[in-house]
Amino acid sequence: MDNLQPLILYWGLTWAVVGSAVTPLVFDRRGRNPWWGGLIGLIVGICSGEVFGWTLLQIFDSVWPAYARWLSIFGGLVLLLPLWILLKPQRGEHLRAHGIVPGTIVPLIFYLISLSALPMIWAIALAFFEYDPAQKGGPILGLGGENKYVGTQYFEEMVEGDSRNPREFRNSIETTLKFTAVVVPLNLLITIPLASMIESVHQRVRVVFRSIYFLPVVTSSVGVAIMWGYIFNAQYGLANEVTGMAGIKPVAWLQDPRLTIWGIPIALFAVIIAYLWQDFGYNTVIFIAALQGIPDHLKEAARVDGATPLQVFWHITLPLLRPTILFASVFTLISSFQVFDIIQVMTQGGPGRVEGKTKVMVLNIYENAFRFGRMGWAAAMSLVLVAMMLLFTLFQLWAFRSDWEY
Amino acid sequence: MTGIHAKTMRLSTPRIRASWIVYAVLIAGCIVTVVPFVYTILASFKTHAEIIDPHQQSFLPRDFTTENYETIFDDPSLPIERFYLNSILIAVSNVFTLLFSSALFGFVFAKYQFRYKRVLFGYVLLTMMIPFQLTMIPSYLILLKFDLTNKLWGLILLNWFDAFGIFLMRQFMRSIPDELLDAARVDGATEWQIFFRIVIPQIKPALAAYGTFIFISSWNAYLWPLIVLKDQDVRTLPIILTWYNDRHTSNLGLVMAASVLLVMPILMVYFFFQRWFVRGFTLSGFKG
Repeated sequence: MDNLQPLILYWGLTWAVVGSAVTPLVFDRRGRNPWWGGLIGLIVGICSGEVFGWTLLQIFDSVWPAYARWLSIFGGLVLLLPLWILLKPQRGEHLRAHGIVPGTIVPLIFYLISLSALPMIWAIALAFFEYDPAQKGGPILGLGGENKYVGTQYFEEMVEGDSRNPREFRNSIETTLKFTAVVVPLNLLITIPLASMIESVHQRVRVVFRSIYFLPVVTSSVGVAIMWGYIFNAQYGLANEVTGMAGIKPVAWLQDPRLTIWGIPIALFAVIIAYLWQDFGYNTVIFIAALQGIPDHLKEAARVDGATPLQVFWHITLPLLRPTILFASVFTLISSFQVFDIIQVMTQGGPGRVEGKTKVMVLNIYENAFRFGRMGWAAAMSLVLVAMMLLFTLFQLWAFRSDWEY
Repeated sequence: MTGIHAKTMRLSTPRIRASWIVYAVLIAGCIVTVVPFVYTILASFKTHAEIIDPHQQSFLPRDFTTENYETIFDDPSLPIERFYLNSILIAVSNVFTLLFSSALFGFVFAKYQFRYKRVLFGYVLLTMMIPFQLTMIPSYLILLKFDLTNKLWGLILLNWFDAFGIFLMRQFMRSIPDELLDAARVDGATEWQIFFRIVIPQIKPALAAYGTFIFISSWNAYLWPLIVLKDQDVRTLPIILTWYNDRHTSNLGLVMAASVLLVMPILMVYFFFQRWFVRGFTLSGFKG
């Protein structure tokens, strides 16, 4: 028999969920405490699933080898069904509790522990091991064994390492920061005025504009990347035609490693344009919604006092938008730290091999983890990415803090 | 009803006469938004010779041709129906499982009292803040342990929990008055009947918005399917498109036709359901 490990996991997981979801309802019917039902169902489900799953597999393997694996799944029912049927009702008066609560909450807790908390702990632990799933690891989460413990070696390398990996890492941090530093302010500078313009026109036209501006947001980012890859094509692209009309010589937008605009490599610049194009509709819609929430009488009062539209915007609208600006800037920042799709398709991180001009952190993490099998190193880098995101978010919360309401 | 409403609205908020500059800027913005789409669609109808001829550059196709599309549909190495089916299958199953689980958990968190509810809900919200990049490596390792990599099931089976969905559904269900549920209880309805017959119909708009949001983000999903699905025939459309793009980099017309085939279905759906789409995305506070 080949690898049984997945099957053993299925047995446990399936019957833990079924047991802890159904048993509380049964307990509730029989006038017993459904929370105990959840706990008992969970334990009985797992034990029965494992033990009788194994037994069924052995039995059916000699009779129907083709179906043995499927039939072994039903092992959990061997103990759960009798439990559900034979459980005696509690005598005397009782209040019916709500079996639905433990029937959903116990499976939820089980899920949160096994498939949400565990991966997080695992992710942090991985950063201290030289991990490759192809190697034979130790008993706990595959750590240890051939996947050697390396301590804080990765983090030390990041700071002072001189070899290829650390250089690539530091380059990716720099690229990500450049990308974010351009994207977030530009996005807000485009979307806030745009939203207030859309908000100022007539309702019917407003809806039309809004849905056109939202088109790129619903478009697959792979599609966006390929479309813009064509536009920035060095020989046949639209971008060179447009700049050519202004008398600028054709540029190899996505291939030229040396050319920069205001210190930003031209390929990164092209990617930023594509990203902004895809993304601006989202914040525009957010700001339109926020602007509609600002009471008219405030603007009206300012207008009566003789303020010009620009003054109204600057002194009334903008301050009142502050919470929304905070929200939008935090989310734009987080999502631009996570940029991957567009860059992976448009430039593959290039131009340039080791220190690719558009190789952002997530692309670097992805390549190390899933192409080069350096999962420990990739996990260490993703910890740094998350720490950076956290740090910047906290900074934004502090910078845009406001303690008044209207 | 709506007519009266619109009339009072118009009376109470004096219309601001937008100047022509505003309209000019907005229309220019629309052109910038739409041109890449149009450019792509037009290029997909151009012949290869026309695209690479430097003296023949024009926006409109000179020799209108559908040969790019024919090539794609006739390519035996690219069974395009199969990839459509894969993408639709994943998107639809995600919509159903996530709608059900989010509504159910949202209902329990909104309408029942139990010990440690706040702690648990706080933890659910916390999982929403954890970036995917942190957990993607261990999540992949878990799928590996379950032998679910390279299978469409891998994208469906372990994906039945969405913290954001739970949060959203709870917000909507809180506005349903408790008296309504109690009245049903007095009439002898079980908790499940209350959930399906009273609560679900009340939050249909939210379900529609959230459902479209799930559909579109799972149709467009790239990084996670790219990690999980390695075999050619289980891939979803975006992944197959990048593969096709790498193979035919020089034949731009062909690649453009392929990306039109990827993008168009969602744009069609968007035109029909755009009310829900926009709402779904703004509700989300998340980026697709």
